[in-house]
Amino acid sequence: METKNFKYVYDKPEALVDNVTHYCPGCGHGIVHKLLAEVMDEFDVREKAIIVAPVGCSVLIYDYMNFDGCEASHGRAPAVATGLKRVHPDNIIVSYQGDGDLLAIGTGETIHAANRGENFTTIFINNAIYGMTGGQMAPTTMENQITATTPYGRDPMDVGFPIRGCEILNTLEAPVFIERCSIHDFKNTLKTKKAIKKGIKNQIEGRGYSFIEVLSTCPTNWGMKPQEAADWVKDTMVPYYPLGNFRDN
Amino acid sequence: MRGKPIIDTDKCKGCELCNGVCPVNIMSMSKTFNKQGVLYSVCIDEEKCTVCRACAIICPDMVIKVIKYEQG
Repeated sequence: METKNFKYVYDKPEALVDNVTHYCPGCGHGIVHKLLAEVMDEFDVREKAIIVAPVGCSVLIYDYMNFDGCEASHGRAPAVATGLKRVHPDNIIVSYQGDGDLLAIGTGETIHAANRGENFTTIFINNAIYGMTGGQMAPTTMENQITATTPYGRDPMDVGFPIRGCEILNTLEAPVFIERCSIHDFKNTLKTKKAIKKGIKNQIEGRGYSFIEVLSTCPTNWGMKPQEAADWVKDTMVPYYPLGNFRDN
Repeated sequence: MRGKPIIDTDKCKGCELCNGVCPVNIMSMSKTFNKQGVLYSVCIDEEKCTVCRACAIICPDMVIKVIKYEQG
């Protein structure tokens, strides 16, 4: 067989550890971890990056990222990130949070960190369910979506409507960058990477708070195959959570 | 043959997302199980690969790397 010279056009980012994650097959966390690691490599800030892990499926993110990590109590990632950034202003701080963490128990911390315009980046994974604890209803669960605690579907008359995080933060003056993106297909995954890149760039330039919401999948708890879950994001979540940039100052 | 995906079969969890994104439909699942006990992703026709990297970018588990052959 003829041997040819070749080069890698897609290789593992240095900021990602080479091990098998504990995530279920098709989980969106793996994709977002990879995008974040690629962005860290592109800015060459791996040595001074610190990720603040939430409570949720991504609680072990520091095992998969080849940079420093700090664990926060449930919902307190923005408070821990604020402290880290104020003590170490030259480090790159990213808080990585899920919907239970950011919009349920940690709503207060999130809104006030954003309102103070703290100079760190938040990545918000919205998968419309509590994944780690076994698929209970989250604040972002869709209307009529069946979960462990809403077996007949989410009834807005009983438990309210799904909360839109980007729109809430868009009422504040201080945040400099707010964008909602999705990873349900290849094209949107590239857009997500672009948004994360912009969020980290804002922080490097010291501009202030950046918020990136990523519509993600949870095939196991939704009871779907990974490809069906991706289609469900496109057909059900995207109409309610419109994609796009809300602010880019 | 412009290039091909290099698949780390033992890391694959068999989510099949790469099968859905490939523009030339050359990604498929194996007939045998890997170390994790799932059917893993395979490239069934490397000749057709366009080196678009879609499979590698969508893969949640960093299973796929893509190489491109240099001319000459």
